[in-house]
Amino acid sequence: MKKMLLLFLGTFLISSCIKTDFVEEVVVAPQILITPNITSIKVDDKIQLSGVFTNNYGRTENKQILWSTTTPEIISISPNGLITALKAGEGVLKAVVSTVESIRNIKITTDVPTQIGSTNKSGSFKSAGSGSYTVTGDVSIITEGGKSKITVNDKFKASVGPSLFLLLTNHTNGSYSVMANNPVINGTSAQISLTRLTKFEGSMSWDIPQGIDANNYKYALLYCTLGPVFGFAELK
Amino acid sequence: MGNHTLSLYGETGITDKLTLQAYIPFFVRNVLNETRGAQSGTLLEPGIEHNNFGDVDIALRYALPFGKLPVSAMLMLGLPTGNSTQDSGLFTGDGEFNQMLKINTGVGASKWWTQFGVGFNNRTKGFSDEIRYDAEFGYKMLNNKLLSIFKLAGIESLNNGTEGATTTGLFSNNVEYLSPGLEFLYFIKPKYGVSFRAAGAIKGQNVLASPSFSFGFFYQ
Repeated sequence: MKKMLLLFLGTFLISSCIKTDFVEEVVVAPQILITPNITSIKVDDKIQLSGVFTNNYGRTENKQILWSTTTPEIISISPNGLITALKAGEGVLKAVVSTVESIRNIKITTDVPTQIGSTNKSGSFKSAGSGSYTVTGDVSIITEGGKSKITVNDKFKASVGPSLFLLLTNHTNGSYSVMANNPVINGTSAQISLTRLTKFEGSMSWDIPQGIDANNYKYALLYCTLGPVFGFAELK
Repeated sequence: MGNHTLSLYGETGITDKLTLQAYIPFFVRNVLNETRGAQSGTLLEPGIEHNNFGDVDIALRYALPFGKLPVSAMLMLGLPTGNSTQDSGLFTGDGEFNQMLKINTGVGASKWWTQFGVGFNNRTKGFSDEIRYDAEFGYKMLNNKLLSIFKLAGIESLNNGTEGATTTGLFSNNVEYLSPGLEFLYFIKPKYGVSFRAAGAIKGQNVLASPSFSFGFFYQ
């Protein structure tokens, strides 16, 4: 009887260990995402650019970015991404990591003040209809000084899930890629919350990770990595 | 994810007609597996775990005077002794106090028996009330040393609550299922033995879909 009890407890302990689940990964083209999104810059103004490299799974990787310009008479750029507008015209900047490059055209003017793309969007969450999961409340995105923040108001309430993430997306009925503490940014979604949500009700806000331009996405969406979309808000 | 429970279940007769039942899940362990990319093998999310006491059920069963047909009425109280508040959602209890009234009946002979039950479960704190039902057919083999039991258990939610569902399938609201199962009890000695049970689901809602397996020791 003692042996059976030990066998029983051993089986219980082994079977109750944390195991590994493998999930299919979305393969995308590696890219360099440049922020802030500058629409124009006035002569003699300086702006600090930053670049984020995302690999072929859309995950950010810490890579050295080589900055350069093909129009050095119009705009200059330092090795760490500080640009200076020298004279009016169309400046062309280039960010390179290995074989991946990203080009940004910037209009330099003498009269129009420097303009950094702003995002002021908001929406109301509605449930996605996946089972009985619900999301209510409002969400807003505000950009100030080139940094964006996403906020849900005090009426926000979501069904409890052990693996729930906030994303910006362009569709509401797919599966999405996330990674703890390393936001996944691909063509259709961008991960906002770096870790699983541990609070499901009330006002909260998140800094939008570097490299994500909120203007590129239509929805704020709550996604559970166990399967369903809980709910989403169309951003207007 | 996985749900693993160590529990005690006991019945004792108080009088010829009154029986006390108790189900005590004294160790409930819930785990959410880590996830890795299938192509890259990269760790995407670490696993999480939560261990706690579960929700205790206490019941009184009374034999009703229905002539030759054995009929019993049961009042079961579901006590919110588990944890329903921790932030990972790996709850070990639903946090509500429920009361179920259930009627059971059955017939049998020396080698077999069958029984049926249906009950109404009144739930609190925004959880929907439920109709619970079960049926079983048992057969004795190997000189009555082995009992083989086919069980069918189900829950139908009245969907009249306000509480939302959880993705874990653990103590969610509006749970529904129809679950067939097989159970074997083997008497090692006349007083005690071991049991094994496997159950699946024909249909389900807001509940873990994977089959469940139970191993146990019993003493009578």
